[in-house]
Amino acid sequence: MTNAPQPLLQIEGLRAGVGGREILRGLDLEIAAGEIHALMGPNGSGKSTLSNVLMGHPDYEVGAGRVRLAGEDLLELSPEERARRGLFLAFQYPVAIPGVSVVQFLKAAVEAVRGRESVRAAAFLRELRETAAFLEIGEIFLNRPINEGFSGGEKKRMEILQMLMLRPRMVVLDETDSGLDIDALKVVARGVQRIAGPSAGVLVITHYERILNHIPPHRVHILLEGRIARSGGPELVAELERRGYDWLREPSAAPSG
Amino acid sequence: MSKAWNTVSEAPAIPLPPGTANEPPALSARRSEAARRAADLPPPAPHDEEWRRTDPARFPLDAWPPVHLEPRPPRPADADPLDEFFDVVIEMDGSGWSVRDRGGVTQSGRIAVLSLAEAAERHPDAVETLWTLEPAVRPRDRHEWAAMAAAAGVFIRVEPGAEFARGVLVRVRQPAGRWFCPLTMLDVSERSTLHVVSAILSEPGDGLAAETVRYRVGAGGRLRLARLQLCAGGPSQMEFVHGRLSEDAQLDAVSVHLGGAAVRSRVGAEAAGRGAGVRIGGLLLAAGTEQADQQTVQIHSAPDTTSDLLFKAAVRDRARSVYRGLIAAHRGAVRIAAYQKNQNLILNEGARVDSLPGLRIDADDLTCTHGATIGSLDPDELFYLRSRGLPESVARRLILEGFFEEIVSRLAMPALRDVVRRHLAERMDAPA
Repeated sequence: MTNAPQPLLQIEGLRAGVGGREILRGLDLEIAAGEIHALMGPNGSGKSTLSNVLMGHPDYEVGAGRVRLAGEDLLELSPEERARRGLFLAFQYPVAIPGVSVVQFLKAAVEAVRGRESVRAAAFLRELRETAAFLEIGEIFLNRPINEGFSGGEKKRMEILQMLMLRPRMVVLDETDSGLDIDALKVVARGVQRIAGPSAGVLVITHYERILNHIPPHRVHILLEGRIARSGGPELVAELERRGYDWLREPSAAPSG
Repeated sequence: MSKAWNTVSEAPAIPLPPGTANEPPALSARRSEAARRAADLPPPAPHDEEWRRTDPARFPLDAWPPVHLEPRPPRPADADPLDEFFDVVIEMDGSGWSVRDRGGVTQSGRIAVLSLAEAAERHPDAVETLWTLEPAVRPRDRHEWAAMAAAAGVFIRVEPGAEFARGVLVRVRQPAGRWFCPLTMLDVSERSTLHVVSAILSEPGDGLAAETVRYRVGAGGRLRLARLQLCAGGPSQMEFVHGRLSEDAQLDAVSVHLGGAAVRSRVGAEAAGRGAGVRIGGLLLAAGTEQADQQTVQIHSAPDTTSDLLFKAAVRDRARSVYRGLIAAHRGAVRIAAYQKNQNLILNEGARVDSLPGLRIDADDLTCTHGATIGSLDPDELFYLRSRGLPESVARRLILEGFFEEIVSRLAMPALRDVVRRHLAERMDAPA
C-alpha cells in the first residue's frame, strides 16, 4: 500500500518512425494505474506515430527504446497480443469494415480479448445493449456494418463502445475529440470516466484543451519534435492555451549532443 | 481405356450416356442433335479467346464415362438437416435420382417433379421450349452442347397461381471419375412462386461435371434460385444457366462457388416481357491452383425491364479468376435499367484476377451502368481488427466474410446462409 505504484505504461527512450523517417526521438513517459494523462502537441510532433507504435502498426519501425505494460515488454508482441494484454487504442480515423456488423465484430473481439468461456451469448448481448444505451448509440447501429456510412461522431462513439466492451487496463485516445460536437464529446467523456478508475490508465492524445475540460487529466505532457518537451499538472493546459507552443520550442529545438 | 458407351460416329467423339435409347423420340432426337452440334464444333484450343484464361485440358469431353440417372426410391441415408426447410428434396448421384415429397405437395397437382423422359411425354412443349433456350448473344459452345446430349435430371413445373416459397432442394452428389451432366428444368407458370436450391457436392478425385439449368417464368411469376457449388478437392465444374422472364416476372438468383479444380460458369437471364426484373448475385472463392471463368449475360428484349447483377470473387494461393459480363439491350427495349458490378479481392501475391465487363446496346432511353474493382485486403482494416485482439487469420476471414456478406444475405434461408458461411470459413482457414 505504501509502495510507490509501479507504472502501468512505461515508455523509455523510444525512437520510432515510418517510411525510413524518424519521428519519435527518445520519448519517455510513465503512466500509473488510476491516472489520466494528456499528451498535447502540434501537427507533426509525433502524436499519431506514438499511438501507432504503441498498438504495433506493422508499417512503423522502432529504432530504440522500450515500452512496457505492467512490466511486460510490448514491442515484441503483435497488435492482437497487445490488445489481449489490455491495451486499447481509440483510433483517430476508425476504418469501416464492409459487411461486418458491429455485433459480429464485437462478439469476435470480446471473445478474443476476454476469452470465449467468460462470455455467454445472452450475457454479451445484454452487456452490449446496455453499453450502447449508456453511450446513446441507437440499437439499429449494432446490426449495421461497423463504421460504414457512420458520421464522425458515430465512429468515435463506436470506438468508446468497443473500449467499454473490451475492458482494457490501458487506454490511448488518439484525437478522439476531433470532429465531435459538444454533445458527442460529453458522451465520449462519460465513457472514458466509466473505464478510468483505480486500476486503469488513460492517455488522451489531443490538439485541443476542450476534451480535457470533460476528462480532467492528472498529468499533462507536451510533445514537440518527437520528445516530451514539458510535463506538468493540469495548469499546463491553460498556459499552453495562452502562450501556444512556440515558447517551448527554444530549448528542445537546439541541437543536442 | 475402352469406351462402353455410345458415341456419335463422327470424330471427335461426343459421349452419350447408356439407357437413353428408350426415351421419347423427340427427346432422343434432341440428344442426337446436341451430340452432333458438339462434334461439329472444333475442340477448344489454348489460343481461343474463350479459353485464354482456363486450361481446356481441365475439361476433357472424352476422358470419363457419362452417367445416366434412373429413378429410384429415396434412401434414408441421404437425409440431411437442411432437408427440413424444404417441401421437396431431390437427390442425384452417380447411381440414380430420387424425390422425397416431404410435404405431400406433389399430390396437390400444383407442382410436378418429373424425369426428363416423363416431362417429354407430358409437357412436350415446355421441354422443347426450355431445351432450345439460348442467349442469341452467346451461342452454345461445344461443351454446352455435349452437356445437353448427356443431360439427366429433373423437370419441375408449378401450376398458375401456386406458391412454393419453401420450395425444392436439389442435392447433387457428383461421382468422381465420371462425365456427369445433371439437368434442372424449371417451368414457373404465370403468377406462381417457386424457390429452388441446388447444392452440388463432390467426391474427391477427378472427373468432369456440367450442370445445365433452364428456366422460364410466366407473367407475374417469381423464381428464387440459389445454387451452391461446394466441390473443394473435387472434379472440374461447368454450369450453363439460362432462362427467360415474361411480363412482370421476377428472378432472384444467387450462385455460390466454393471449390472445384476448374470452374466454367455461364449464367444468363433474358427479361423478355415488359416489366420483368432480374436480380443475380454470385460469389466465388478459389484456392490452390483452381481456375475459375465466369460469364454472365443480362438480356433486355422488352421495355421497362430491370436487371441488377453483382458478382464477387476472391482468390488465394495461386488461384485465378476471370469474369466477363455482358449487358445486351435489344432494339425497342426502352426505359430499361441495367446494372452490372464485379468486385474482386486478391488475398495474396500469386493469385490473379481479370475482369472484363461489357455492353451491347441497340436501344436508347435507358440507364445502364457497369463497373469492376480489383483490390487486396486493406492493411488498415487488418490492423484495426488486430488491434481489437483478433489474430491475423481471424481478421482476414472476417474481412472476407464481410466482402461476401452482400451476396450471402441474398439467400432466403438463414440455414443456407450458415452452410455457406461455414464452407467459406473452412476454405479461408485451410492451409495454402
